[in-house]
Amino acid sequence: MSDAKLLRDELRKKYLEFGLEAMSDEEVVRLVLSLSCNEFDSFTEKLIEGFGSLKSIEDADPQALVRYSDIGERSAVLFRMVSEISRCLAVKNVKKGVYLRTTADAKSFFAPLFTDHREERLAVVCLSSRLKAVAPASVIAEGAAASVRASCRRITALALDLKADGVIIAHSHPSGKAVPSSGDCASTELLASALSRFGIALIDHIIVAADDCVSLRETDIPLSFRDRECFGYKITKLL
Amino acid sequence: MGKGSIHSGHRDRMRSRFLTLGSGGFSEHEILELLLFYSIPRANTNETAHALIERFGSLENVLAAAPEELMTIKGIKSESAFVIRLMHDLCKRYSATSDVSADLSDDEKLEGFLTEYFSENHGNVCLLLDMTPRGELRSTKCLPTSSLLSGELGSREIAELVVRNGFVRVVIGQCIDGDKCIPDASCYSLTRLFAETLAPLGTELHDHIICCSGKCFSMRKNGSFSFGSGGNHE
Repeated sequence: MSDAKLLRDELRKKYLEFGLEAMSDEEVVRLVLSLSCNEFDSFTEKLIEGFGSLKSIEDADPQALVRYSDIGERSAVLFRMVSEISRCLAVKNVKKGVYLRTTADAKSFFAPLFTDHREERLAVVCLSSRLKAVAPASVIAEGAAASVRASCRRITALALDLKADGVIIAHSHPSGKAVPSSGDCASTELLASALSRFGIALIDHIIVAADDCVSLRETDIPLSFRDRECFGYKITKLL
Repeated sequence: MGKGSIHSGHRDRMRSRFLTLGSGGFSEHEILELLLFYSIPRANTNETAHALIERFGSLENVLAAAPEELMTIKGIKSESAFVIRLMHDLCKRYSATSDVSADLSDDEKLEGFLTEYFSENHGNVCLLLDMTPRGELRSTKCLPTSSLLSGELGSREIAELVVRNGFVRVVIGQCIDGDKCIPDASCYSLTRLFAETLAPLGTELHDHIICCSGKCFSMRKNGSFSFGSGGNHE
């Protein structure tokens, strides 16, 4: 049995018996690289020498990883997957069980879903009558499909499925300002009307841009959705 | 063309796409399909990935599933269950120290973040913080300082990274050896390199913060460098 195979088996045994917590950064890097190449021992030394830690390697620009150490795209993908999947799951898991009682709460709630994305995105959170999120926020649409009007049916279906009393939606203006367009206002009214047929309130519509975040409930724009039930949802500014 | 070549071409394209776009360009089953490349050689993993999502409901649930449960899916043997479990544990370990969306809107928070990062991640690296104009952390990218100083990673490579990731505002955190937390000649050449590279791209270089032995030196705060911003300015 080759040295590489012996080392690989040893690392796997340690991981399976004691978990990653018992392993040093160097051992974890070796273990990961052993999935994709035979020269994992020498590549590990080079990576740790250049980047210092597992986290820095996972945070590294993949092209820089490949250039610095010649590890190849096959191995670089594995490290990139860790940071990308973690980020993906962290955003997705925000934030079941929180209360969104004010416009400031809603803005803080939705901001993380948009900071890492450059395309338009539409997200929704379903609430109880006590303004508690009944499920994690759902991303309804991305890119060209991220229009409130086009997603009315999906939003309504989700709210019905989760037995929601209210809904807050948010969409992004990635390359523009957080200024509600006439289209944004019209689709807000349309959605509010659609939801109200089933006893569900559209509580707010948040628009997120690179440097600002606006709640349509806070604006002076004449919108009838504000006259409907909102379970005591308040307008407050972020400190 | 043999079947092996068809699969290897597809796999290479998928890997390149992932390296370029990250997870944003991938559905959950495609991420799983990519992960299964490392345990299932020379076969189409797309169907197996679909089957996993169908059975467990989401990528998160697949990653969290017990190996015995995973192996009830056709195409999943012990090696695939091992790789999936390993990825789950790696993500858990990464997430425990990750601060995406952290509010770094003032100097104290920014320096606190970098001090903590470099206390746990020792290495002569430059950590690029990709920030929103509001001061929220969007992502981080780590580059070896030696590669930047040697020219192995030059203006062209930095510009490609910035454009590829859509950076708007950048803060450089640089960890250096020694006791004295003051920039030396190599630090200034890095600041110049980034300033000259980012300006034509309209990306703001907001600060270059040197970190050493638990202390921080902000070039912006100390007036050590004139930070223009491709349009924005303090």
